[in-house]
Amino acid sequence: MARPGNLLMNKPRVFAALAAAVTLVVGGCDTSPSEDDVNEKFHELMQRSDIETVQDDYLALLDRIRTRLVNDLGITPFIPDKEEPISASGCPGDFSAVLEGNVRRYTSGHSPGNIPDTEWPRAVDLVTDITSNHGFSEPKTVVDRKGDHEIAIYDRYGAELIFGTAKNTILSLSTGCHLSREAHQRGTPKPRTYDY
Amino acid sequence: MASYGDVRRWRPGPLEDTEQALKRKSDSLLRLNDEFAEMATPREWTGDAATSARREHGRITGRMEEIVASVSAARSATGDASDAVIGLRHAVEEAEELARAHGFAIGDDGAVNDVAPPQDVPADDVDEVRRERERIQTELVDRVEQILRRATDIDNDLADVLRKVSNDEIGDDGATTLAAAAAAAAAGAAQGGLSVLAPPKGGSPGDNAGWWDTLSKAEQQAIIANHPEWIGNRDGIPFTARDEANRARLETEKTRLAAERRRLQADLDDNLFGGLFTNADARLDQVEEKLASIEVIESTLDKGNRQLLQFDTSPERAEAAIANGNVDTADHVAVFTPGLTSNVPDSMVDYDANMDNLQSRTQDELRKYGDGGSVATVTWIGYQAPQLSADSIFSDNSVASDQAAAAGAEKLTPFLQGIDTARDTDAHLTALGHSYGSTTTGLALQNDTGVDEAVFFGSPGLGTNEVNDIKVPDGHATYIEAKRDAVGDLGYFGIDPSHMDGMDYATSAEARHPGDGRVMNEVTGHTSYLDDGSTSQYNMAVITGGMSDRVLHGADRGIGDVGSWPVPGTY
Repeated sequence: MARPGNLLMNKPRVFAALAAAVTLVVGGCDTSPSEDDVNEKFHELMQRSDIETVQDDYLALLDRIRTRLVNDLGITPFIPDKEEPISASGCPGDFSAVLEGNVRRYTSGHSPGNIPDTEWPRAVDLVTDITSNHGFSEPKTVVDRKGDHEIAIYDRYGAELIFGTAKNTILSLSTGCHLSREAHQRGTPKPRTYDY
Repeated sequence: MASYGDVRRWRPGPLEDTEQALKRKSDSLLRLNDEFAEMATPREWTGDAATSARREHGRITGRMEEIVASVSAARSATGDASDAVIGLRHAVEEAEELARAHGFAIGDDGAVNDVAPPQDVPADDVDEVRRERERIQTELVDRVEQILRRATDIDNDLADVLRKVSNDEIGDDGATTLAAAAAAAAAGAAQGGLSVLAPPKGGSPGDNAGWWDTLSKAEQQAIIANHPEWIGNRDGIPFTARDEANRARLETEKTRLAAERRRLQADLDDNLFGGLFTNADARLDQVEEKLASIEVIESTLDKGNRQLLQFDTSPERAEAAIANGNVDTADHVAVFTPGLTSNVPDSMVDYDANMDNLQSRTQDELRKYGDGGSVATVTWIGYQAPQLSADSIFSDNSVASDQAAAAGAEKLTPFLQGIDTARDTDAHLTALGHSYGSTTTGLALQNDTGVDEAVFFGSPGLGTNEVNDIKVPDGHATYIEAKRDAVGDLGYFGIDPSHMDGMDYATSAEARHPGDGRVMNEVTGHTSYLDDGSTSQYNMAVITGGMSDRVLHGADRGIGDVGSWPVPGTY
């Protein structure tokens, strides 16, 4: 096995160490958030609905889309995954400092089979007709080729609905970042218990 | 000592029959107890004969209690031994099935023999097949070792109880009346219980898996309840059990650390000079960092569908690994090792969200184009990644030294090995390493780990100059480097991976997929590779999902890569 210690022997070590330290420090990966950062981001999230309200809305939205696709287009009913249909995490990126921020992801499993190319525009119209009433913008074409199509539709908070068809047809939705209901009702960030 | 051939023939049936026979004896003795109690000397009967009769009645009662205790001890021991043999047989079956599936056979002497090596292996796969078979053979040797250790333990424990029964050494726990016969039975049963075998000291993942498989379900549950520290961080144990144990340990550690915090704070408050002449303030900082880590871990677990795979507060900074999904059952598993400045309280939320996104994107790809397989992603902050504090930069933990990466690799290696070892069927396993974490990953993958795919991104070096040192199947080590990522051009812990012969390169630039035409977003700099919707994230998703044919290739070399070009003969 090659050992980096041996590899380093070939370099001017002091200079290299300094260069590495400086470069890695400049390109550092994570830093602790300040209290001001947390407050600012929390205040921004307060302008949005809490995650439970968003979830109720989005689950109903997905249910309506699935029902219409099956009833109007005659696609095979969606088969849920064996795993949980909802996953959740804290918010990545700018909002990660807010511990009570939430992103949730909803999957519909899959509808076996492909929506024919000729039916795809109708399917897109059907989906966007419903999503437009829930604050989603115009669809963005992700994939559009014979036998393989996908669109993504976004809302202003970064929610993303994906609807696609190839071997199977998929429909999933991830929310933007939203506060928990408890945090939203409290109106201020829950202070971290421990300062270090 | 029993041989493997002996153990292979062990069956729980005769022990169950014996236990049932002893139960009947015990019940019969307790009935006799009732009858004998009714035959006690009448109160009205007095005189020498009556005194003598009462004395004799008491002697017989005492002897009966001893017999009841002894029978109960023997019954308890045979019952426990019967359960233990069920666990042992399970372990034997697991080992034999593993051996059969890979062309090995286990002899009566416990030797693992290569009886059916694969034929007609394509030349490109010879090294990988050899590595995999060596890994399996090592695991089988470890499993046999643990089966024999457990068999010896059962044999010794049962023999010990039966010897005590034979020598009248089973006490009745002080029972003095026939009415206490039931208590004597309970006392005997307690003395007849077999011990729970502790895990192997310093065991490999194979040793640990072998040990765990020899335990009955009841013993496994007892260990989770009473000794969660035995298995929480023990590689080779199923992750569902580790998760359960580590969640229990979160509570006890929180209580312990809170008490420690109060004590240190009181020391500082009582000291006129505070922490000026002691380490109490520094220790308090560490304790608070660990408590903050627990707070973040709990908040992450509360999101649901998580497993706490690793949790250790003994190092300077807390270490933890959290999975999105079920690592025991997922078809595809990815383990992400972050780099500089990563620590649990500041990094876990962000990285866990990145891993949740990656899991979700991978599953969408699998549902739409693949077999719909399931995915689990792991954030592994299981080592002391270098920090930006002055203390860290000028210590052995410095980012300018490979020591933290080497120490991390010593932990990451068995963690990765433990994934396939703990499962019934191997996962499609991907190791993801970013920045200094790519060095840690690169060093870990210079061992046989069972990893099928490696993705390094923004790497200052993989701890080697040769891609062949990375033990994954040929063509399955991938490097991604974004524009304006100076760290990726350092070539400090080995040459810049952008220039490694045999490395596969995936792009991070804005790209239109040549197959389906989709356009994905570019990332630049050192810290955005996992951004949702980015080309780099997409590439990690399709690799994690085992769809390497969908990777968007490209090296994205910039001016920094010209400067980092290794001069032949100098490395």
